[in-house]
Amino acid sequence: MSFTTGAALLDAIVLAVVAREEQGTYGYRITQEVKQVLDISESTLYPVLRRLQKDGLLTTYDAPCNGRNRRYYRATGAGCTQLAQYRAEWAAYTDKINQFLKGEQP
Amino acid sequence: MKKYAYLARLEELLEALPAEERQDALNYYEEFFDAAGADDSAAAGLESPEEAARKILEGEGVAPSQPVPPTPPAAPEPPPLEEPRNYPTGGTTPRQPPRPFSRKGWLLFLVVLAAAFLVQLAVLVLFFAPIGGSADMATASSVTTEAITEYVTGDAANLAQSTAVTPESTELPATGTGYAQNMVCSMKRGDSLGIKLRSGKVFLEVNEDINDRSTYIGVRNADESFAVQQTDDGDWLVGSTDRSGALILTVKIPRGVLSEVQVSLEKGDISVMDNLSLEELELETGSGRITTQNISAEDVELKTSDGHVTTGVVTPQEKLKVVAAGGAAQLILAGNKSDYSLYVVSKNGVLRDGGEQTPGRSLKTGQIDRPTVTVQADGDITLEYSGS
Repeated sequence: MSFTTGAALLDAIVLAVVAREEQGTYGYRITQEVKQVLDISESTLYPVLRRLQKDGLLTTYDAPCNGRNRRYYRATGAGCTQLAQYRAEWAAYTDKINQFLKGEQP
Repeated sequence: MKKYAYLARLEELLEALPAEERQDALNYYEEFFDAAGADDSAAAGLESPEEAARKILEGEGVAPSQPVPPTPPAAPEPPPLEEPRNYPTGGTTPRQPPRPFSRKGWLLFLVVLAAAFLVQLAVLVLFFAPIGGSADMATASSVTTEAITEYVTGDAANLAQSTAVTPESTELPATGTGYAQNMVCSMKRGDSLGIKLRSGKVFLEVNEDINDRSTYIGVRNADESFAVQQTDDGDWLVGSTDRSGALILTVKIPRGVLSEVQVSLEKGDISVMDNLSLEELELETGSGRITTQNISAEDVELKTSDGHVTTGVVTPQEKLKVVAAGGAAQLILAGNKSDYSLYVVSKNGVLRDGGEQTPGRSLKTGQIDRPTVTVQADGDITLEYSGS
């Protein structure tokens, strides 16, 4: 695809994927879900998860799975706020772009 | 590459990281192998450890302590599918200190972003040019960031407005259709939750799992039009950002975590589906029905300007206030009549107290040091006591 996925958009997608799971979700699954939409690798996603965590948008907890701990990610309050902002912003942004690319009237 | 060889190589490459961060990364990759059910990195869909390490170090803002052999960030012939610059994480540009901008620096940054925004608009117009589409990635990401900064104030204003403005007539759309989305937020003990909608329905539920501190917000009939915010005081605000739509929200709160829940609708019903116990509960609607299960709180307020109020057993430790300005009220109080200081008035209806119809329309008992209960309704009022 010719379009690039910027850092903010990637953040928004990961936040959306995490926030829709009631119990949170884990790294491998996040990767698989994002991969359905974007051609992306796990090594790209790990730093994204770290960054969202450092910025206080995601929080983690460990839960046992098959005799090992698995790290689950969940959205914090700040994460939810940020996601709501991303959503609204994305809607406004795509509307504007569609005016050009689809010839839609503003 | 086999799992343990991969992890060992990765550990080596991440030497420059503090031990804890290195261990986090290694755990992540080990988990990834396990979750993929593969012992081989290619089968697990992983990139090379060199590539992984490079991105991790970039993300942590750490330069490799020694030259890591295959690190060609600017190499013109990277692997075709996993082309790193296709999905920038922002690591290549100055992301070393993610937040600590001074106020001046931040302003300067915004000015730069605004300039970048103009450039990007121009680029977008040319999107269909054959190769001209490879827009500079730093520009692409800064556009979004800049726009979001603007949005914050706009949205806060919207939320504030959504209750301040007088209601217009809006028809509720049929339930169960339309856009659906969910959101889960972690709460701290003592947080308070405020839900302010212009029009819609709110169902409050309680998650009985004591280990789960998340508040789950499920939305029906939402069209990208709601926001969840946490104010500086720790208050949560769920509100519609779109002033024209009616939202149907199911809000599942953690048991015993929140201190205060406040729901305010200009129009629509509020239903508490489970027994609630907290410090303060305030439900208010301009027009609609309020229905609750058992409630235990220091302070309870249930108000509708046009509709009925029906409760389960209410245990107010200090105060209960019920207003059903255009309808009837049906309440059950915990314990006995003598446990409360009552003030009850029905404007046009019948007052039933403890199962018996009273000749008048009002009732007043002045018990000292008892929780006060005030009930005002236009229509019938039925008071029952769980102790009798």
